[in-house]
Parts: sequence; C-alpha cells; structure tokens
Amino acid sequence: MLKQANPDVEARLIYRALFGGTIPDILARRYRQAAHQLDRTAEASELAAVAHLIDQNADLEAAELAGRLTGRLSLLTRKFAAMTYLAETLPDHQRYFVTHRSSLVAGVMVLGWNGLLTAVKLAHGLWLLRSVRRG
Amino acid sequence: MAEFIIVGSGAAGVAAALALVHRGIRPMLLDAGFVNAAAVPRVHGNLYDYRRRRDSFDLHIGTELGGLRAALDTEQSVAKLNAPNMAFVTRNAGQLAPLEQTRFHAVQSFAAGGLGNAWGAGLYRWVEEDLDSFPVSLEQLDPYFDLLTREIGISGQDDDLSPFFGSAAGLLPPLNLSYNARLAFDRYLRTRDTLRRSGINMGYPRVGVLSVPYDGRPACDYSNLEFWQSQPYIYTPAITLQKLVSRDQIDYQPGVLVESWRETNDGLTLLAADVETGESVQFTGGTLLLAAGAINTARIALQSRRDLSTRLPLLENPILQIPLIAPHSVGRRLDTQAFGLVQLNLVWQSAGHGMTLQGSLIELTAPMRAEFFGRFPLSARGNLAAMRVLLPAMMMMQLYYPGSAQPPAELSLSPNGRLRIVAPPHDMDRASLAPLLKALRMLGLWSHAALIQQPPTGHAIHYAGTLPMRTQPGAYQCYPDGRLHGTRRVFVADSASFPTLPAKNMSFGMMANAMRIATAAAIS
Ligand SMILES: Cc1cc2nc3c(=O)[nH]c(=O)nc-3n(C[C@H](O)[C@H](O)[C@H](O)COP(=O)(O)OP(=O)(O)OC[C@H]3O[C@@H](n4cnc5c(N)ncnc54)[C@H](O)[C@@H]3O)c2cc1C
Repeated sequence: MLKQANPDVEARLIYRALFGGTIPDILARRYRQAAHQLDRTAEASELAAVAHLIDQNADLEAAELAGRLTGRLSLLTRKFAAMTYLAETLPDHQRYFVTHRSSLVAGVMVLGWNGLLTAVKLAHGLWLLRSVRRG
Repeated sequence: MAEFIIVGSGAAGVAAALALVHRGIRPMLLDAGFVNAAAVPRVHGNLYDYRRRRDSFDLHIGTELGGLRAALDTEQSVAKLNAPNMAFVTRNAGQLAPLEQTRFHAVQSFAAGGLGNAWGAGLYRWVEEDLDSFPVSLEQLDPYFDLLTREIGISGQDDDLSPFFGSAAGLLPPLNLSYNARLAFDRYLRTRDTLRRSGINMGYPRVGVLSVPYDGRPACDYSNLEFWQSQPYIYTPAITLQKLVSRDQIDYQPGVLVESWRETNDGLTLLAADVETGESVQFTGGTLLLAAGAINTARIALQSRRDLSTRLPLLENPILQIPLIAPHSVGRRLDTQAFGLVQLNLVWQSAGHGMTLQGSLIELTAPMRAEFFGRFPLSARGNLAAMRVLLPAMMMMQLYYPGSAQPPAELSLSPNGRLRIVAPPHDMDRASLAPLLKALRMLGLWSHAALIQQPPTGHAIHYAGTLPMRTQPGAYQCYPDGRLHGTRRVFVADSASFPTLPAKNMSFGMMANAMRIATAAAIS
C-alpha cells in the first residue's frame, strides 16, 4: 500500500518548521486541500520519504534544505512553498514576510545568523536524507 | 454577410478594428471571448494595507488554488497568470487549442482582449533598425503609432532611449520610480558617458500606464495591485474593445471558435464552433483579417488547407532573467508605494553579440513574497528572513534577445488535431553578459552569471513569424500588405506576419502594423 503522511500531522509539522507555534485552523484546512493535490501527482518514493520523515518527527526544515540543495525531495520543498503561500494570505502573518522598518545593520545580522543556522541545518539534513535512503 | 470579419479581439484584433472604424466601416469581430467571472471582491487602496486588514486568500490563491500553481506544478508558470482574477486569460486554452510541445511552453489566450489582459503594457515604437527585414518602412507605420499613442495613453519621456524607442511625441509624463530604481537611475545619470561608450543606454520605459488621469481613466496609484486585478490605469485591448462595442462601431460576436475559411467567388465562408455547445456555425464575409495570435492564426491557416505536412517557423524572443541586488537597500523597509512592473529600460548595443539587446528592470513588489520561497540558498526560515530583508533590495532584469538569436521553432498540424511545436535545444551563453553585469554594478545593482536564469522557450510570450511578410511571398507567406499568398481576401493582421522579431516587447509594433494592414485591406 502507498505510504503517505497523515495530512494533519504534516500540516502541523511544516507550519512549526516555518513559523513555530500552532497552525491556525483555517490554514490547516487550506493546506490539506493543497497537500491533497500535491500528493495526487507525486511519485510513490517521494511520498514514502516524506511520510517516513514525518513518522520519525524529524527536523523537516533540515530535511527540506538538504533536499532542495541536493536536488532531491522536491515534494517536500513544494509542500513548504504551498504552506508559505497560504500563510502569506493571513493578516496576522504579514510580519513574517514584510518589514516596515529600515535597518541595514539589523538586516545584515539577520542574514548572518540565518547563514550560520543554515550551515547547521544542512549538516543535519544531509544526515537525515541518508537515513531516509537507508530506511 | 459582413463586409469585414476580424478573428480575435487581442491587441492585433482591436487595432485592426480601430483602423476599419476610422474608415467608417463596421466590422464583425469573432472571438472565443472569455471574461473574468471570478467572484473576487475588488481591492481598493494599497495591496499591503489590504493584506494587513483582510484575509487575501481569494485575491491571491482562490478556491481552485490557481495561485498555488508555482508550488503545486513542477513546470514553471508565468506568475501573473496564476492570480484568480487572471485565470480567465488562459481559460480552456488547452482544450480549445491543444498543443504537443517539445522544449516550448506556449501561453495561449481565448479571452476577450486576449493576452493583453495580463500584460505589462510595455509599448515600444519600432525604429528603422527594427524593420531591417520587413518589407515595410517606418513612414508607413508612424501615423498609426501616433494614433495608438493617443488611444492608449502611454507614459515615458524623451531620453537616451529615444533612438531605440522612437518619437516621444504625445507621451504622458513618466511614472514615479521606486526607491531602488531611482537610485540606479541617478547613478546612470552620473556615469552616463562611460556607460554609453560601452554601448549601454538607460531611460524610462514606454508603458501604457497612466501617470496622470487620461480619457476618463485614473492615474496610477502605486498600489502594487498590478498582478492581482485589472487596474483601470493600465491599458488593455479590452478597453478599446469595450469602447467599440458600447458605441456600436463593431459587430462583436463572442463565444465562437473559428476553425477554417473557404474562399468563394464573391467572398468567403468561415467554419466555426460554438465555444459552449461545440455546435457548428458559419459566417460569410467579404474580407477576412486574421488576428488570433501568431500560433492560432497559423492553426486556422493550416486547418483551412487540411495541411498535415507543412512545417511553419515560429519565432520567439529568447530571454534571460537576471536577479539584482542593491546592497545599500538590504534591511530597508519594502517600498509598498511602487508601481509593481517595469521601472526602467536598458538598451545594450553589444559589440560581443553583434546585436542590440533590451533589458527591462522590474520591481518585485507586486508578486507574493512566497513566490521567492526556495530561491535563496538558506533554510526555510532563512528564506523567510531573506524575503523580509533581501527582497526589498532586489530587482530583476528581463533581458530580451532578438528572435534571430536562436533558430526558430517548428509548428505543424498533427492528424489528431493538435498543433505540434518543436523548438531546437538552445542554451543562452551567460558568460558573454560580463560587460552588462559590470555596467549594472556601476548602477549599484549586483548579480553573478551563475544566478542568471533562462526560462523555458515561450516564456517571453512574443510569438511571431508563422506566416511572414515577404516582397515575393510563397506558400504560407504574406504580401507586404498582409494578404496571405494563394488567397484573395485573407489578410494576416497579427504578429504571424513578422519576418523577424526585434529585441523589444512587440505588441505596439504589432498593433500599428495591424492598423496598416486593415487599412490596406479596406482600400483593396
Ligand atoms: C504576463 C504577460 C506580460 C506581457 N507583457 C507584455 C508587454 O509588456 N509588452 C508587450 O508588448 N507584450 C507583452 N506581453 C505579450 C502580449 O500580451 C501579446 O504579445 C499580445 O497580447 C498578443 O496579442 P494578439 O492580438 O496577437 O493575440 P492574443 O492576445 O493571443 O489574442 C488572441 C485573440 O484571438 C482569439 N482567438 C484565438 N483563436 C481563435 C479562434 N480559433 N477563433 C476565435 N477567436 C480566436 C482569442 O480569443 C483572443 O481574443 C505580455 C504577455 C503576458 C501574458
């Protein structure tokens, strides 16, 4: 049987990886509809890999990053992208997307910090992807 | 029986209709004619204010999730066409005009007003150099450019780009520049002599976007809503169509899919189908003007001869997309009061390429920020951070090459009724852009050859040359007056008749040429 992630758990974990905290109900509902469309056309191997990561409660942000940078697991990246699009339509999520105050110093620091985090996440993500391949 | 029948209500069709109406003729205009039926409430004010107050799911995504196409599909799509309010532009195109494509990604429209409903309205006059291979002179087109400039309301100004964009007569003042574009242009003005010596010129675009109220329409409000709903300050062919219909100057017949024509002794018969029911319908007329877009005009020509063997050329402007960053704007607040499309143009007379290339410098304030998810080599949260602190510092240059920079695609009719389009493999050389990247750095805009993207062929959405004009045409070619070889009363009014495609948004040239051809058809 085709192995697929539980859509509610998937929505919760992807939201947490992107924004932290609890996913709003309306966003979870909309995400389920989008994920359904994505899953319908996805390859079985990718579906199984995503399901495996979710079952393991793995760090999805790390796995997505490693998948994206190595050209694998595009399904997970598209799921993250779908969640990002949907979240951007909510008024209380605007702060994640748009800055209304200017600061070059803050901007550079934010980028530097995220650069460091990315390096750590990438190492973890590559390890996760290896374990998915073995699993 | 109509004296003149035009097929298609896009930019070419309405321009042809306008020319006939100016001569006192009331043409029949046949068209599939979809209109926007999405139940999306109109947004007034600024996009970003609206999003802070209201859930924008209906505006951005829609119940059919069209706005998520970039995430849901593996194929690259044109972002603006995914907006729920723009879905009608490409509605049912795959069913009405099925294609089999290899290395080509055509965008087709069956909307009232055609693809122009979604365009950026970059409307550039042709100059002598653009007409090198046309059996047509600039003097023949200039009166129509003048007339269209008045009809449309085009903003721009007389500047360093006038030698490439033609006369600035009748232009409205240019639009306000965004913060980043203003800084780049100020730097251009300071380094102008050096840049011009290396063949680089910069200036305001010519856009059918009102900088001041004009002809009963309001001026641009810098709301960033250009991607999300039709804005009355952006000209679209649908505006002229509506005007002609409301004045009863044309006999507009939407809901019709024309399949072929048959010439008779005293005129011609058009064989068509009702778009909703599929039932056959016929129209008789004296003269036919084809303006269904270069691809569908060619389809109708091939279907009329039931020709499954001929391969027609299909031209398209190759494009490259160059992401640019203005380092001094990193961390700056987003310029939410901007015009969200083309800010400036750059023309590069490239000695290395031996050709003139045109770049459009585009603001990134109108699309959703999520459009850029995954474009930064950072983690998911890093991408969100980059959307906040890097995107306000970014612009994009769309660089157009002339159609001749790559071999044409081939278009033919398959036995199953599909149109087959095969483009040759073609990789644009990014390394040769080093002088351009250096010039852009002088303007405070940084990039790197490795970041330059080549969208799939077909994404410029400038299709042309399927039935080219020649002084001595052969089969599937036109006379200089637009008449199709081997016919007595069939004229090609759209870009199908272009022998070449300059490195320039083509629609304004096509519209002037459609007026010239319609006038020639009326006289003949
Ligand atoms: C996002 C976007 C941005 C763009 N920006 C620019 C820009 O800035 N500047 C520029 O110059 N160009 C731009 N373009 C390209 C421009 O929109 C097109 O080149 C132009 O609109 C083509 O006009 P057309 O009249 O040839 O054909 P279309 O616009 O394709 O219209 C075809 C018409 O024919 C009808 N039709 C087709 N087949 C049949 C049939 N068999 N029977 C009956 N009716 C039929 C359709 O219903 C439609 O009304 C852009 C396009 C897009 C999508």
